[in-house]
Amino acid sequence: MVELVDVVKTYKLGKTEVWALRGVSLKVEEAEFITIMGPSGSGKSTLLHVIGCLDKPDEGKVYLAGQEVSVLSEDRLAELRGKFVGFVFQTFNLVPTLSTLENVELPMIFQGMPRRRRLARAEELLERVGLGKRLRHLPAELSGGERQRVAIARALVNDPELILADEPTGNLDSASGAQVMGIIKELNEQHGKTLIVVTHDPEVASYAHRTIHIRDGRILETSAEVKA
Amino acid sequence: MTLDFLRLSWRGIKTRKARSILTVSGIVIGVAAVAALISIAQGMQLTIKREFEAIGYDTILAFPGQAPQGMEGMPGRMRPLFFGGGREEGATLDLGRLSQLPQVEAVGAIRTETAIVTSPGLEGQGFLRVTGLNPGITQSFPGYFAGFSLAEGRYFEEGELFSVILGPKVAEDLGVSLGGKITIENQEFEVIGILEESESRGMLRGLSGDPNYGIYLPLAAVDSLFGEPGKISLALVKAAEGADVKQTAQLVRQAMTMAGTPVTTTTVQEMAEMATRIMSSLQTTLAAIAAISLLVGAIGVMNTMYTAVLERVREIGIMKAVGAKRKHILGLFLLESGLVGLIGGLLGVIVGAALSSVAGRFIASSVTMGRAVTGEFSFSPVFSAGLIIGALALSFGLGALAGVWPAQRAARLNPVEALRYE
Ligand SMILES: Nc1ncnc2c1ncn2[C@@H]1O[C@H](COP(=O)(O)OP(=O)(O)OP(=O)(O)O)[C@@H](O)[C@H]1O
Ligand SMILES: [Mg+2]
Repeated sequence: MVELVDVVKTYKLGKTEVWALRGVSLKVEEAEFITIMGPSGSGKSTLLHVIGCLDKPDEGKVYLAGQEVSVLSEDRLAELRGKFVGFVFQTFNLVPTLSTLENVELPMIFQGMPRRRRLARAEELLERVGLGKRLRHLPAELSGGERQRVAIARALVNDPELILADEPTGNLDSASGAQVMGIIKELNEQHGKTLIVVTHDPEVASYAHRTIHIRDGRILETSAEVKA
Repeated sequence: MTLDFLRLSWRGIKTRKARSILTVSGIVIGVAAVAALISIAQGMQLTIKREFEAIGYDTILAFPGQAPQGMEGMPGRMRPLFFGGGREEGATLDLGRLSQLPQVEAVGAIRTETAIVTSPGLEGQGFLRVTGLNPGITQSFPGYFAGFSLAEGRYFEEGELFSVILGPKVAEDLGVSLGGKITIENQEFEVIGILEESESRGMLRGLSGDPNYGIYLPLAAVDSLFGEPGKISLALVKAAEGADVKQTAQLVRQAMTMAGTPVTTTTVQEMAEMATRIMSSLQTTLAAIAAISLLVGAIGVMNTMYTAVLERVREIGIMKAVGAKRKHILGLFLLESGLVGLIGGLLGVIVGAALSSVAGRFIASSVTMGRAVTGEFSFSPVFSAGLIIGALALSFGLGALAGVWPAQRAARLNPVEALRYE
């Protein structure tokens, strides 16, 4: 499903170069659920962005569903992001001026889906994450947990194969976090989505099939957990 | 899809209400100025056309004397027509020669003199201008005399001599009414007609004076009072149907030159052309000024859109993360700035219409451009559908154009950097 070969990513900060990824190779199978753990600044988010076609690696290759994406044009990458990948961020990243429903509609607008179908789909997904009664609310009028559930619904509207979550529970209290993780886990268990979740929380990692540890832009080890 | 983008753009405008209103006002001012100017200019052109058409394009004005050097295009004697100058000296013309030309259908003669006028109702004596008209001139040149209508009495009859038609104001000043008597240069005249009061001043005021104060006599009476029979201040020549008016004017000049009394001619066509020329150069100047205000408005839109992009970097990152391509972001911001322009244009057209109707009323009351002798001056700005559509298209286009640079910046943002932006 996802394969990275010797991926290098550096950022230039003035004259100094920051090495965010120093040769990462990784394979994630279809319908697998993995978590990525590591200290702050170790390159977790960068890795997720490269996998999700938000960013291009400086060196190395990235394959999604067998296709090399590191060579694609920016517009082709945008298309892949829209159709193939669903993102969930720590800070939710909802558009503050759009309602719950409109935020969830947004990815479908860029796919050119007709309005009627969009509304039906958005409502269905919001219902599924338990926000059927919050359609007209603005993000500011929702709790953190609710916002993250809107973001999950938004990540799912185009029915992506791959779901990437960057510390989805990082800004939530434990009750909301558990609820959000419940929904995310279900995506893998019941809908067979491939899941890659970045987290600091061992509790979250315990849901996954496998956890990758990363430090200073390198993968240290993979701890496989056998899930029942 | 387009509709969705419109909705999203509209949302962008609405969330920055105060600034959007300010930006829109910049466009409103520019568009209003342009629309008002164009509508007034179009109204002017229509009025000029209508006024000259009313006189008749087949009418040629012939003034005794030659045009001053270098002023052939605009005879010196034209100046009073446009600027309401003083009266001109006349000369003796043999108008009979003109009537014989096959290209000429009718000839009219006007002679103005200043005369000593007394009346029973007037203490002392007045030194007033009198205008001699040859018989039938009002019928031959109905357009020129369109406003010359009687409140009471009748026009001159053939062979009539010591009869006078008075403007309403001068009749009042002289203290006479229909059937009364006044004395001009020691000759008694009977008042056979009184004109209707006219509000506007005539375009040919310089020659015929304000008709409200006009004293009109048969031409023969003026000749007999002042001598020099055949002396003319202004001759009106009507080209025959089918005859080329310019050519006829040339023939008139040739004929009078051969008779030893050269004339300068002006056709109504030439007058109309000149008026249009003056108008259009005025229009160009004003349009340039209006264009500058539009440009300022467009720069305002650019500034607003640029700030909008900066403010919404994160939002742009989000949209890119969920699959927006460059063209989507570009389209969204272009549409938004175009929409700002369009709203400005819409309000601008409304404000412009109001502005031009006010200005139009002011112009109508201050510019002297009525019918020849008297007549209503009617002027109203023309707000055509073409003007409205053009103004809206222009403002949308200008708004979108102003948004190109900011929108391109937005579209080029790197999604990860945009998402990190605080
Ligand atoms: N746009 C950027 N410009 C410069 N340096 C960057 C940029 N993005 C990331 N970095 C650097 O790259 C390294 C990896 O960053 P990354 O965000 O991937 O870390 P992370 O593991 O997600 O950390 P955290 O747990 O705090 O989110 C860090 O040292 C960071 O400072
Ligand atoms: Mg991170």
